[in-house]
Amino acid sequence: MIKLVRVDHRLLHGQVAFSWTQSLGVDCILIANDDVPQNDIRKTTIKLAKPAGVKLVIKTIEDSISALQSGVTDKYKLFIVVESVADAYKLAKSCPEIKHINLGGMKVREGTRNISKAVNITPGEESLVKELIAEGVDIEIRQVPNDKKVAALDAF
Amino acid sequence: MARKIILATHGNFAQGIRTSLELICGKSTNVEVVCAYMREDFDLAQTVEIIIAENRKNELVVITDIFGGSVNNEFFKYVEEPNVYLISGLNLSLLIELYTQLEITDSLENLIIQAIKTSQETIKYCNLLKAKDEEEEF
Repeated sequence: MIKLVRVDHRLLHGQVAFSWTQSLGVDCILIANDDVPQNDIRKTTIKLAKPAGVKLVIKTIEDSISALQSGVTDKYKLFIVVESVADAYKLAKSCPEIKHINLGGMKVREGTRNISKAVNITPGEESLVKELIAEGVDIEIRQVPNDKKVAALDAF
Repeated sequence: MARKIILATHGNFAQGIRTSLELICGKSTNVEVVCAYMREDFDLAQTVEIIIAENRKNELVVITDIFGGSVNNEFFKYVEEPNVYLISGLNLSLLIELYTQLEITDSLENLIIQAIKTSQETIKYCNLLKAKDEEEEF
């Protein structure tokens, strides 16, 4: 089952990986990203951040969707990490099982506005988030599990 | 009885690493620092004595910068005290692991042994690390 989808522009990094994995009780992390499978340095750093005792799978967005739809992931307690709202949107649209999305880190880019300490969002991303919320997906802002959970709608 | 972490270093290292800790884990209330030799009149023996005396009722996890350095040696005089736990080789991953589990652990001794083991494993020559060729699959 999918425990959480996290949007983090740094993808998997040490302390975050550790804290979320522990708090969610997951046994598998899926990095869904179109760049990492062909970028050896990014791949290496992600693998180094992997907590012990957890499986780590790296796939493109398209392959991730195929895997999620095929049922091979059903036996895992899965934590999915993507780098952008657009990627989270693609996954959520293709996999109705995705009910929770966490906005953890989105850096400052052209046209973004700051809605939380580490979260900067473009108007386009904001409308994608609103669309998913309207479809019943719970979208929250939180860096680490101990932080207070803020509903994305309240931050807009 | 409260649990406290004392960071004790030569110069401002202790202060600096506490800033790093707080950036990652949020504001701390139970981490104190000793930045030794930053003033002409700094008296290490007296500073340490006061800390030990003021914390008779607390459990103290003291982390110093370097094994065999004067700061470590001064605290070493108190390792027979049942409430003093002394560690040398301060680094951020060690500190984070100790800090995040300080309040929840049943055994400070086990926590310290485990945290030292994992933080030792994080010292790497990164150039030698390459992504393993085999990829994990579902």
